[in-house]
Amino acid sequence: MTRPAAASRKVLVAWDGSLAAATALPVAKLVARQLGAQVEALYVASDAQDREERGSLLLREAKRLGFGLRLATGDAANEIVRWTEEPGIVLVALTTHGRDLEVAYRLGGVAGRIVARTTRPVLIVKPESANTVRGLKRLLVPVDGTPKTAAALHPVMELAAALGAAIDLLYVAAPDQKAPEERGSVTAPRYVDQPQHEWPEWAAEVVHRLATCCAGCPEEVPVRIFLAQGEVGDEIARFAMDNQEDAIVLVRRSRFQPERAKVIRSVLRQTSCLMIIVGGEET
Amino acid sequence: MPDFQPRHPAADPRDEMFEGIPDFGSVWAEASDRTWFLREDDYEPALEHDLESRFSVGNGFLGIRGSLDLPTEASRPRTYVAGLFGLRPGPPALSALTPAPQAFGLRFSFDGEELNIGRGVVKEHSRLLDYCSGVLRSIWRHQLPSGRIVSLESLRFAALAKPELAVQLLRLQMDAPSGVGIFVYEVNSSILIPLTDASPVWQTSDGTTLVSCMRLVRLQVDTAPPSSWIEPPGLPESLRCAHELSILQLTSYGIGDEPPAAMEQARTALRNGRLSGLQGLYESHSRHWRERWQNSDVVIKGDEQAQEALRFAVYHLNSSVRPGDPTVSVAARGLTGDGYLGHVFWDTDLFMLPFYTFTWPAATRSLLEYRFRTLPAALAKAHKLGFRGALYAWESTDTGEEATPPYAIGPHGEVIAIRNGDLEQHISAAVAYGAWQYWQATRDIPFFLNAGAEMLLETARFWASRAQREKDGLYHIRGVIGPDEYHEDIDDNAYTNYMARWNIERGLDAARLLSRRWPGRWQELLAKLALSKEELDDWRTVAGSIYLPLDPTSGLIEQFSGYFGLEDIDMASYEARTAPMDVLLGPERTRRSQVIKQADVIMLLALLPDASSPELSEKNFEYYEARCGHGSSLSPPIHSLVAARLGRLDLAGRYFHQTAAIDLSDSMGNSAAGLHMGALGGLWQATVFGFGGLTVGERGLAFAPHLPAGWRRLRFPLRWRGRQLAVDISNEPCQVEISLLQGLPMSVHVGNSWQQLRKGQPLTASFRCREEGT
Repeated sequence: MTRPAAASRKVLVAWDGSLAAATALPVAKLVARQLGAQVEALYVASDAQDREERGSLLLREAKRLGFGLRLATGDAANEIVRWTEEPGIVLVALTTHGRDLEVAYRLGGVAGRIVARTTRPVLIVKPESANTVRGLKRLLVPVDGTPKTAAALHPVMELAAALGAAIDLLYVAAPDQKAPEERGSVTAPRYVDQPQHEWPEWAAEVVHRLATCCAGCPEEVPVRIFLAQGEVGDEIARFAMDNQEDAIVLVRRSRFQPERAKVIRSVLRQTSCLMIIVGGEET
Repeated sequence: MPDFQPRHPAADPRDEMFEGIPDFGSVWAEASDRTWFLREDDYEPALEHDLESRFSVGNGFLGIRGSLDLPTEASRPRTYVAGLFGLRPGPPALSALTPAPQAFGLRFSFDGEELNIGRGVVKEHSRLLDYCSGVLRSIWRHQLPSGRIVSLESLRFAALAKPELAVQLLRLQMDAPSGVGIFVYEVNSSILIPLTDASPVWQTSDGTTLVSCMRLVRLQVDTAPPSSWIEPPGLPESLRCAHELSILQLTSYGIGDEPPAAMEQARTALRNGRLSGLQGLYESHSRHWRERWQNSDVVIKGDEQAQEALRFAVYHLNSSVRPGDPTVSVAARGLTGDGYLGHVFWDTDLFMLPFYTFTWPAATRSLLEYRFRTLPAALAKAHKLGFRGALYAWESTDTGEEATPPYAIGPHGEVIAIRNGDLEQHISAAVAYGAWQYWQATRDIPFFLNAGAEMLLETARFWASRAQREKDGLYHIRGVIGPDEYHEDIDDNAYTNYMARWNIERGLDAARLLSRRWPGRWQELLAKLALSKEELDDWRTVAGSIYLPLDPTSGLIEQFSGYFGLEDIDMASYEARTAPMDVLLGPERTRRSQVIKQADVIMLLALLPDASSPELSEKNFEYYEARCGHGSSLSPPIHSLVAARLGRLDLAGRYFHQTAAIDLSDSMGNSAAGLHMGALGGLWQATVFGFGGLTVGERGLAFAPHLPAGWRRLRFPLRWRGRQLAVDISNEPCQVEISLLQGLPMSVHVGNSWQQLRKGQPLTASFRCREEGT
């Protein structure tokens, strides 16, 4: 993805008119200011009558709140995905739920379908914690050590450069973790008991291999690497909270079918932190 | 556009500059034998650092990572000069091997379009390291963004016959006449400081060491006669070529404390290289490599992977040392990467040295002379800690002063105390072990009299002062770190105590030998070291009363006091892990558990096979193998060696392949920072001491082979006290044949008896083909 010039950058907010979904708007405004971008909201009406009645209401509300609102009609997820592919969209903001509350996964049906299909990074906001957001200065990026997952992070690296944000890579070692078969993958460092040698060498190599070579991280983005141990979702959530990360970046490797995307679901359940989800090669 | 295929060099009889160089095409055709060639046919940026380590070329003075001929941001090109240590800024500031100016640094453009592997389409890219001749070749065919096709074929080597010299040949071929731009990039290491603008000399950041680097280049455009030698600043900026441009580059280095000496070394090497020409340099280099292989090649029939691993190991071991220079040693990562800052550990003395001792004694002598040269620093370290004798640096650089940092900065910015420099004292016994084994294998009297004996005496003296007599009447060594670095500040580490006793006994042996055979030298040493008869008596007392933790009931050696009381964790439940145990358990729980990082008691069994009976060795191996996390590359080869000696051949084979994968498959994920030279030496030991069944005693060599399933044959050469031997072991039938190729008759223990081995009369003996678990 070529980084669009600041003037043409847009943050798209999907707004279903609910109060819950509206909590994404101030967050989007904050992030857009950081990016030098415009906020554009989108309401997808179910039919002409809905567009006429609710659409008009929301247009007035948007004007009052000071952002532009586009109206579309049709299937909400399909329409939003189509709009996310418009030129200049660098980020799509959604709340975990709006009108179609789906507490079990903490990722609503429409939201889930958008995340599963758009090629743009999606910022997921939890309505209940939206007012604590202070911007995106530190992004926690868990990595599984594989080049393919790292390559999927390229849009986030570009986003981090545009945001002026720093990246904290996190590698979580789990007891039953098998070595990735993918060539060029990295696993945990072997000798953390000699921190004067192995740790800095491993850290430098992982940053080089995953962030620079695979994800194409721009030089100006500061990148650090951390190591944790335990169940992956738990550790990501714990680390984000302990280190006051502004957002957790996760790579989607599935379309949220049942029994898939366990890490994303686990992190969503456990943390109120913002999340950015990017699409990766599906497995 | 038709696909452009380059022609191969040396195909043109007018090509005088490249005469005598094997044709690229023919070398590639032979390269299907992976046991003699390391080959990589992909270009994957994420793998570059790892491949650069593996494809390194070196000669002990120079080490050149196998980076692309035209490196990219994905590359970490490095040229190292042995001994070029400078201060790496902290915190903490550390003495570190400093990369020298790059050996090769030309770049090219075609009608203004730069040739860069990251831009355009890679049509073909292959690297080929020829172990036999120590030459790295590459073929690269590339489509530039404009659509035109350019190919680059190259070879490079660090001249084994002229160690200060690096040679690179490049041949560019293009699909249409072009204006070829030539420019020099990053010739100088960014960490070095130019001494003056005019002289080709740089100094390390602390100004302690100087390196000089000089270059000459010859060009040949199409079929025109080659140019005369040009210094790179004088290279033409652009040349008009119809199809082809060849470039021969010689780069030389000199090192020293004063600019004239460093420059003279580099200048002389460059002059000699220029006089020899490419053909002469290549021939002498290949000849030296052939000689190295004659003395060190290990042949395995029936297991191609094992053969591949051994050739890789032997190639890099032979590339890493330069006999005759006592100022340098072989670092943990050799000259193949920045890892471990070029520091020298016990890896050299216990893991690499046996390979050199039994195949290239002159190399061992140099490495031991380095330890002798750093003896004053070892004496000072012991003195500083309140002991007598020599305590060698756990991490050593050029001076031998302790280079282990006192602390490190952790990932969260926390300060972590590093105690290995103070507590990992078994290094002194490792130095003594290497020196004694060299004495056994060579009977190098001048070295023994002038250096070896003194090292043995001073290390023995250290242990005698280090062990303290306690209420039980026994001598204890408290507050150390053993080979298992998961457990710090422990008491009576079995490995340390046994090795301390062994070291004191060898010190006493040296004293006895000197007093009987060289009384004059003995008197000199007594005076020099202020050594008295009473002190030697004390040593005997300590050696006879040192606490050796052996439980008579179970037959188990307790790794250290209190070890058996620690939490016993079932390692089987962590079998699928990819992370080391101390990461999974956390440092605190690891310390409170019996999980060990690497061979500790098992290391003892490997070094001192006579320290316990076969039954007790088996018991101890069984116990500790089950508790070892192999968090060190040094662990699997020692397990392979001991398992083979015990006849646990399947297990030994598994550990052998685990060792091989450390660098050939980057199984520990850290080859990017350089190869694990200790593990490569350990692989040779697992083969020769383990499967070959070689043990070394005062009377001579003894063989009790155990070949693993699938190995039909194992052949290796050995040097022993001026003799050249060949050992040939077959599995079908189970038979060992030992031949004396050169030297006087000698005794060899084989087939349960000592026999006389004479030139032309090989000894043959059968051995019992042992099955797993028998």
